[in-house]
Amino acid sequence: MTQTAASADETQPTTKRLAEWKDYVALLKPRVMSLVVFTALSGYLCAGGDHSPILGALSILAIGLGGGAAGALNMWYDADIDGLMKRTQMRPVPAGLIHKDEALAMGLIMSFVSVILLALTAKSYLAAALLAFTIFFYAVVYSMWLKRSTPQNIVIGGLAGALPPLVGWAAASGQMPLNAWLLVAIIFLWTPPHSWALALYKSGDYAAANVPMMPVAKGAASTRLQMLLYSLILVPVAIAPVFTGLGGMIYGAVSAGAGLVFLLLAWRVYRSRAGDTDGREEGRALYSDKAADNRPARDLFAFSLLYLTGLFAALLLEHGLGLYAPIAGLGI
Amino acid sequence: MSKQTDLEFRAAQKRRSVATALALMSFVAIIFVITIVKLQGHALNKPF
Repeated sequence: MTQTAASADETQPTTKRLAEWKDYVALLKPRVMSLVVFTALSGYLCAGGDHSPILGALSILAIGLGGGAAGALNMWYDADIDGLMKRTQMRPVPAGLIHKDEALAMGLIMSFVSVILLALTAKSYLAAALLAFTIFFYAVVYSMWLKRSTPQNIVIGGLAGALPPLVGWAAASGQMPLNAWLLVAIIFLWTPPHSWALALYKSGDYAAANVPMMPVAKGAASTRLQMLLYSLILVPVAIAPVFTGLGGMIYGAVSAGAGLVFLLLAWRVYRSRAGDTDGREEGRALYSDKAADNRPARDLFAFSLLYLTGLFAALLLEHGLGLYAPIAGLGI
Repeated sequence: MSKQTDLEFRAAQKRRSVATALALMSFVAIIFVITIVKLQGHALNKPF
């Protein structure tokens, strides 16, 4: 399962232009990095405390650098399979713009710098230790091991993407209480329906690269059911901060309203034939003239991003701008 | 692409890599200077 058709060297160089600054930015997976910074900042502000704002900004910068480092290490290791998938073949390493060794060097140096910087600027060394663990988990446990070996790759590997708010919380306070872990749980449970929604309509890409994503390994119907089950756990967990005192009225409204939409979209995916590719899919497509409609999966993927952004934006508003107002009668 | 052009391209690529490394190091140096100035010797005095 770990064998791929192209060797690493075959992936470069395929183009003859010099790398520009935006190619180096792309190497750091800027969209993932922005989500890391955003959720870490939410965790940082939720923690409160008397941490200096300048050191706080440097701590968030360090976490962002750590996220970028993990992205560069992932691009270094996955250059071979990225070159086989339409979605990723224009990434700077498979496109031949940045050499693999350069991506590795950048990832390692930035990992080191980010952990040291966080150790210096955070309230305690706990945050730096957590950041080092997060980078290790994403680059080694997820990218090198899980991604190519099990359909549970993004479920277990999702922990790496879920940890930034905990790192942010620890940076501000030196502690990691239940509420911080609740934020981790939200992102952890959000990852499977989010990633599998994409995988449902990109399963051909993953199959071509021999990556055992759930729709490739277990089929679209099983994936759709699991997405619904994860969504059913996710939405109540995302509302839980209202009861622990972390989320106030704004958060309560967003988590309840957007949660309901999330469940409806997950139900729609479950009832659809999204990801069904041919007659082998439980024989359903074989007896139907109707082509698989991936729109429900696309809709869920797009809304899932909005959903997570909305939840953490609500926390930012409440704890960053002082708009927190607890819902009367609730709270432990 | 001729051999000469290819060599020139690779040399340009190498120069670009060195420039990127220097820019990254400069950025890191600035960040660490700000950090050290801000911490004023209290960098290591913290709990785990």
